[in-house]
Amino acid sequence: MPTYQLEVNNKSLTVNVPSDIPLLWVLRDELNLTGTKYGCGVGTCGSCTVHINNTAQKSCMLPITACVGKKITTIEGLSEDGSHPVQQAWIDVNVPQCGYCQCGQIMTAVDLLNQTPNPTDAEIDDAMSQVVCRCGTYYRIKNAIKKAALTMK
Amino acid sequence: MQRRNFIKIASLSSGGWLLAQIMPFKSLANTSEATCFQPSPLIKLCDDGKIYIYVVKQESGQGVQTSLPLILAEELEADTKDIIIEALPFNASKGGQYGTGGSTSVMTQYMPLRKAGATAREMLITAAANEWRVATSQCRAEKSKVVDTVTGKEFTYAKLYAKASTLEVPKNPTLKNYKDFKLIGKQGQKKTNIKNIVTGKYNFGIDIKLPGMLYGAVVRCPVLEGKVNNWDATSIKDIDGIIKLVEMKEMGINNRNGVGIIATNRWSAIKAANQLKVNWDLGKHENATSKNYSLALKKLLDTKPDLVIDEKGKSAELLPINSNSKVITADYELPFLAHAPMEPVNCIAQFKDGKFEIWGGFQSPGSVSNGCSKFFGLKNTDVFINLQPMGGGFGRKLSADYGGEAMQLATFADGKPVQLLFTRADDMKFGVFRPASAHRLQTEFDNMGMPTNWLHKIAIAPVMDFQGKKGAIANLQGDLGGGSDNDMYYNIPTLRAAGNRIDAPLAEGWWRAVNFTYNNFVIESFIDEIAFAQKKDPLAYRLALLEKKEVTNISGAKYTPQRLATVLKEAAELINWNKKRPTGTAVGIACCFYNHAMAYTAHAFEVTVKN
Repeated sequence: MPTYQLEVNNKSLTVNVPSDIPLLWVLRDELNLTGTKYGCGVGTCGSCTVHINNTAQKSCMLPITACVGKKITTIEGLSEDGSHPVQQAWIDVNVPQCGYCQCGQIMTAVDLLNQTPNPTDAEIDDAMSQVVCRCGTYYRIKNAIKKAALTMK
Repeated sequence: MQRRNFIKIASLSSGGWLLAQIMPFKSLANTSEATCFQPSPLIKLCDDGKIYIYVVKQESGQGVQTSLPLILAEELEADTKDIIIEALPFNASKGGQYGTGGSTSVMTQYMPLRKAGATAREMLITAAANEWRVATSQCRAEKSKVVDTVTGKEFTYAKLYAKASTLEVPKNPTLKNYKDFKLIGKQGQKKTNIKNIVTGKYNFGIDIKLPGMLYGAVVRCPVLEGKVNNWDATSIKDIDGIIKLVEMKEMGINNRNGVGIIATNRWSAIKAANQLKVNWDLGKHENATSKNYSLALKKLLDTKPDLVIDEKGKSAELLPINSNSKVITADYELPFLAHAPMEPVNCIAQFKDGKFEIWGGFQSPGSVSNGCSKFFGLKNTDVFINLQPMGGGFGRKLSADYGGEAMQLATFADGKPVQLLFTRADDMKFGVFRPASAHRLQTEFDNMGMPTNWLHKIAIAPVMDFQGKKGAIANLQGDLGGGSDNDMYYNIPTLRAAGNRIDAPLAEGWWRAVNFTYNNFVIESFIDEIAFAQKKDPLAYRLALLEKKEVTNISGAKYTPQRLATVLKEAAELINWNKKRPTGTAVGIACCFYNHAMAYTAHAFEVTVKN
């Protein structure tokens, strides 16, 4: 199996994996970064969202070869201790139910707020429609994003 | 998750925990040298100040790791910062009400947990009062301490455990007055483990990785009850890391025959499952299609029912329709539905020294050990289950199929743990589905235009066909509930629910809210139809049907229609029901008395049609 050099959460790491493996399984099974979740494997549910060069991207269909030389950030790299304003807003608003999709939600919300510091409801709906929550926490997600937008000013 | 944390669980009385033997013992956790006192199987009080509260109900996002400990902590008067909440593993030899479903966890655990907390509190107060030689009435518990209200002296709980553990256990501890509640019913409680969730550190079953773990996938027969003829191993010869291909067998737990794949890594297992060529004997359901099944269901609505029950849940005859009266009839059809929890079902199994140890999220771990052990010629006590929180359940994880499949794979893995994962495609194709059903609703009217001689006919493959004796007429009984008959929440004087059964070409299981998901939908839809026909406002029509003060339903539960009316009115007010709306915009309202959880519910929507 070929060897790849990756930059994940500001660390340089080497992995031996099949050349067609998606980034998701490298993160989860090789690097033990299990905050990034498998939900559908076909790029539709968004549970596997990470940042590639600071932009939200789904990792379940992203081949490892497309990630070499890029800066990969997972939920574990967002903050050590949950202190990122978006994570903090998620706690304040008590967003999660089962919690399975929430890392994907948070990574997507962080990207939204980086690009659009004061999103409208329509902009929030548009960005967050990329991530499915089976429990239905959408209203709390929206409230948490608005709260985070205030603290990030 | 570690076996060493497994605390001996006492047997159960109806609905509650019996108190365990009272004796202080060294904590089983080898990380702590604390001496602990366990006045109930659900609480362990340690002299290092830590208070462990154990949760046997399974967390799937509904919040039992938050709500259940909170109920206990309320009575215990513990400082919440001292509390450590832990899930327990499962073994059939220990018993315990682990089964989690039907929206009943808080309802059934509320009093037992309050009693457990109050028992410990009273024993601690008695221990302190004895030390001070004062009356217990002079002492009060707060924030993990007992205080003498006259002298102001106090003992921390930790200092009282040794003494408290020698006392007799009070049989009927005094519960707190709800007016004094500090936790129950108070806003602002944070979800247990929320910080771990938002930092990605919260481990679901899928996140567990054990040393030497292998990865499993299963290629299942596309048709229920079909069999494997053979497979072509050369079709996956270009994939690295494949260790074994094995035949997977039906175990009577709604799993399918198929071919198991064991690999060194997950990606190879998934790829091989997509690529493997298998030759199937598809069996008797080979030609089943959605279209044919739908036609068969609808045809049954025109035939004599297999079972008729009246509003008391008793066997009955269909009433003849009065040919002089106006009758309204409507037919409805609902599809099979997958549960689709965000975390697809998965399980790690290890088979060593003739016993299984498994790791995964299960709503009913007892069904795994009872349902799977016989297949391997083992006892149910030979299966030890390390239970993990679930990324959603919705009833899917009541089924033992994925546990059984992981166990089969493990028997071929030379003692190594194997993690089986259903891909999302597997999850959608090989679930235990909410049954498809066809419904006919029909009613006559009294001289006030209100329904009477109401008939709800349902054609369905009962879920119980897949949980018990297949084909029994009595299996239909469950599908006639869910608001359709003996638990009907509207005051309709004469009711009949009639059922026709059919064999399903897919495995079925309980889906969130069970029979309410289909019956409540058609009843509420039909109420709108008949209100429209009577030229009445659908809200006012519903309220007129909810005027009775109290009804005792067939299960003995008291139900108050007026509470449902109150909820309905509240929903109407929130949506501004009477507001004049432009053409193309409309509002709808519906309600339900969900008797599994004694919950009164209503919702209202405003919908706009564009273009």
